[in-house]
Amino acid sequence: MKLIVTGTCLLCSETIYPAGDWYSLLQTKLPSLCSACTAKLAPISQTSCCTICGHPDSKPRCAACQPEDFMQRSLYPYNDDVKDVLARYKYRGDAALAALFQLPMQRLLRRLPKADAVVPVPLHADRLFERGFNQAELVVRRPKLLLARRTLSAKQSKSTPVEREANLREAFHVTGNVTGMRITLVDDIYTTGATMRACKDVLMQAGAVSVCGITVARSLRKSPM
Amino acid sequence: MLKKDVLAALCGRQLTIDELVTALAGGEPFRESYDMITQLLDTLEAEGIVTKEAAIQKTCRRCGETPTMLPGTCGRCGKTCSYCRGCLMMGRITACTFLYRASPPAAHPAACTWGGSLSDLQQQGADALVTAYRKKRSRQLLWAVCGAGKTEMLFPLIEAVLADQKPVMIATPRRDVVQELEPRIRAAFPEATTAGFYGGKEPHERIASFNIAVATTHQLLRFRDAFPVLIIDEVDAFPFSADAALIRAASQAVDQNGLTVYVTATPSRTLQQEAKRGKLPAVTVGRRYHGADLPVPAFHWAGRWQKRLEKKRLPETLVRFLRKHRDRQVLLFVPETADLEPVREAVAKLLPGIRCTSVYSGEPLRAERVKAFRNKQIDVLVTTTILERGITIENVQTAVLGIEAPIFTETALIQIAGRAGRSPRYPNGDVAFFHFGKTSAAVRAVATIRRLNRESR
Repeated sequence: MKLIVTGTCLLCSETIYPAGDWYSLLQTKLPSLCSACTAKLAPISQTSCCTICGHPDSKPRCAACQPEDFMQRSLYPYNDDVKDVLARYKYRGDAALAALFQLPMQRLLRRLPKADAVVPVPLHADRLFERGFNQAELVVRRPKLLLARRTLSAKQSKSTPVEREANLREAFHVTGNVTGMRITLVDDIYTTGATMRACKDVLMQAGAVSVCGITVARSLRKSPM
Repeated sequence: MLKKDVLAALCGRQLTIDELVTALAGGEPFRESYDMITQLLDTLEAEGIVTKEAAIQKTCRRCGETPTMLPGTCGRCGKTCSYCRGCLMMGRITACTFLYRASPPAAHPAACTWGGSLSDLQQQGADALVTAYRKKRSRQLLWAVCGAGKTEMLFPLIEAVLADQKPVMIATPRRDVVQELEPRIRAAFPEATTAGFYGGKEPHERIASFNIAVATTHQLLRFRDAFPVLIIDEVDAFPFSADAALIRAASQAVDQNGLTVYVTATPSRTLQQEAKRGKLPAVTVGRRYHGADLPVPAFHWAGRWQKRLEKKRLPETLVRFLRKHRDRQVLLFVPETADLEPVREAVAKLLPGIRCTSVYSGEPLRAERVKAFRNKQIDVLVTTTILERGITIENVQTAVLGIEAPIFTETALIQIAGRAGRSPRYPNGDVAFFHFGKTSAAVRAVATIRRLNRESR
């Protein structure tokens, strides 16, 4: 009989042994990451980030942000380690990694105004078919699919900021009733925020009261402010 | 046109529809190419040219791993689905996809144009491999010491297989070895189509056609019943030796009645025992091609070398060794990455004028530094075990500091000792083991080297 229940790290497949203290002994589940991988995924401190765009170490607000700008929070800085994890999740299609983000994303949700619906940024049907899943949809618990994507816009990660805005203006449409709803959008990566702002525009036009967002990772400014 | 490409890609391989789409229809929208190629594959299947199998049954049909449930519904089939995390890096496999296969390609006979000649011992080794192929054995071990000239011993076998119009695969666990081997094979068989496969190649390069393939063992997952002869070079090297999925991949890639040749300078104990009991036909080449003995490592007491290192000092014995070889290049192995910098500093301090640098697996300048060492711009290269095999430098002396560390297994130490005295111009190198207590692995390594020298005399 196995006396010690061991787990396997979701990222590096390293065997995880329970820590030798009473707290871990009483846990029914082992962590899904080993200590080395946990250290790589260092979250953004939500107490010191910009209250508008969620950029780390910019409390109360970064110079470029206005109080009326789109409000969002991110879990991780988009550094090389996080980039690797997200690339594996999104492009390699390792959907099981979504489990890593669900609980922290749920906590992030509570830091923003209460939402009536958590809406993932949609993928175009063709892209969904190619990838096999919507990476934004799996990272939250009860997503409401109230948005759809009309045309297959060029891959956002390969476009310039100007192209992004142009691609996106026409891309989204609302598929359900959002009148009077407070909505929180979910996406994987926040770069310029263009995708989320485009979604916000169509949701507000369709009658939503307020729209904010949460993302798994956000890119950082080149120089510290 | 497309039909020809699809068939060429599938020859001897097992590919998913996604692999075919990305390799054959780069720029076009995914969905359109997907539909087109699926339709084509269905026709080919009806004609009996292509076979398909559900990619995940109880286990993944490519790597044998147990599948993982896909959270939510699958974007491909719209239902609950599962996927394989085991071979994810080779492209994702889901339960709703298929593995497509077609029979292996025919090869053209091609002569070996290598100008050199085999030594008597090499010839014996080479003949044994050809005999194993002719007698339709399923396994054969070629135990050839470091510097025996293994690659050249493979040439007659490759020539024999090509003469039967069949393709050959040479697989090895390490990418560096593939990159070194491929040009040598290409040069020896100019008339044959030689292709190299390893991770990081472009999608269309992954389906290149070939008569002789050189690939990492991971790439064997893409082949099925494709080769009458599969040669696995450095069979004892990580990760092949420790990965059940790769061993499975090797047995799937080779033809059902095919021959698998294990080539190594340091067979594992299991292989050695099988050979001893006669379960595994084996041929030993215990002498280097230039005929000289393998250098026998000498033990030197190093004391508490780690303590000394803290004070930026090295064991006296090691300093004496480095002074003795002041005019020659030295490869100095240490157990851990953390030891590299202190050792390098101490060498620089104690022996001013000696050009010294270090490498390890994560070193960004690894390739450049090894190159500089090859070009004799560096005198002492401090390294971890990454350079234990596959590196040939004329007249290099080797030293191992701290052989008591568990990372220096018998295999590792024999490989390290095998770096010295490889060229006919300088057949006698100096190999020194600096220790704080001999381990049985080190003692066994020296005993094995002595035995090979004695038995091949």
